[in-house]
Amino acid sequence: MKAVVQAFTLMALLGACGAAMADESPTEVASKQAGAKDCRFAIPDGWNRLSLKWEGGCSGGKADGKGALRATLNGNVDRMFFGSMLAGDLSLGVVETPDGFIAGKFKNGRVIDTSEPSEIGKAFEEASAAAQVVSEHFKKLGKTASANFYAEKAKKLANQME
Amino acid sequence: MIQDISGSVGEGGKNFTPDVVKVQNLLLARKFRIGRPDGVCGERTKAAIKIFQGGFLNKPDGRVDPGGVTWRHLTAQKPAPATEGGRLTRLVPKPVKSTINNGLQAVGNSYMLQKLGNPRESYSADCQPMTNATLRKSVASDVVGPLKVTGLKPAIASLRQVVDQIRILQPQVFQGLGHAGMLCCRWQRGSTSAISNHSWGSAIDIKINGILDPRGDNQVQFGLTLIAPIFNSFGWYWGAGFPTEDGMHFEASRSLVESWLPSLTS
Repeated sequence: MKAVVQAFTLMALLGACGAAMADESPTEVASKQAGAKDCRFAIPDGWNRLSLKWEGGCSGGKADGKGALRATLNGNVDRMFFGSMLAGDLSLGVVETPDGFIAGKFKNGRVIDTSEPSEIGKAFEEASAAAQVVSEHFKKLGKTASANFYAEKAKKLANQME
Repeated sequence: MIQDISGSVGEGGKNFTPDVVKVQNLLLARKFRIGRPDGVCGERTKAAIKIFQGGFLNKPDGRVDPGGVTWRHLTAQKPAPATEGGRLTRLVPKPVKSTINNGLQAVGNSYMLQKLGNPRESYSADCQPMTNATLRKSVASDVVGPLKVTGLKPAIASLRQVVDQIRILQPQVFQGLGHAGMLCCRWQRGSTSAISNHSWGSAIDIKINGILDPRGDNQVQFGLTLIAPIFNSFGWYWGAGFPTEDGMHFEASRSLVESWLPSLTS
């Protein structure tokens, strides 16, 4: 948790939190990197041509730990990942799309399809915890609107699987 | 060949009784639960027309015109093309309550505990195995169309009928059909006293194209509106009718569970 807070602080000081425009073709994206120099991450499959911003932990120069990956297109949020990254790769969590949620473990930037309720439940728990971490980070920075936004996401994600 | 209607039916239509009956019969054939055809174009009929139109119109108007596009789709031998109006997973307002789950009653904890017994002695927030030995004998894992499920045997048998009808009536939904679990013994979210209905293996959460419908936003994926009438026709209650909308959730209704009791208790 301390590492996450330190990473957030560092990113805030740098004033750049891993924003990047990905323009690779879909077949290449899994291995392509984006993000700030000290917090790189692999572009998720199908997220090319989106502007990406990671709000979360970093370790060893890579995005690592709980957080949220926001993908925007022409300034509008297109989709968001809530959950954990491991060494710069999506690991466990939920992607919120305009049509609903894609949940589970991730490998090579794409979800591993599962119908196992415990796995899906854990993915939503991780996603909710990650959104809460991001909310608390913004709260400490005094950014109330962002803090509330992520707190609402945390609540929504926690209540999804009934 | 079905004879054309003489006037428009539905929202703002002329609604001549014989025409309304024709349209109602065609909607019933497509598994919309609108009640018995009575020639009266009420809210359920209008809502069913709108849901049906959602498969091919960007702006459903709830009216069937003689020889019009909705009439042609209604009388077509093949199902309405579900994706012409957009993505199957696009969110649309949840249907009016009176148009879904007609005649079906959701089960509650007390009913399930009384009829089927307690799946476990203790629960947590996480999925745990069923420990009730009697009930466990009636649990199986099987493949149902594109779904690999673990649940109560009669629930799986019923689900097989549902999925087969989806294959016939809504082939595009069938192609993208998935699920997020059937049997999972745990508390309801945020509770330490109410048992999830998934604990009995008689409920299922449906995914379309790998995407789960967001709970509690009073919107549902369009594809779910296409298959809900089919679930309903086999006695499955749709969670869109819960006080907190749960569009991806379908569960065996009271009447369906009731029909299983002789096989489960013998």
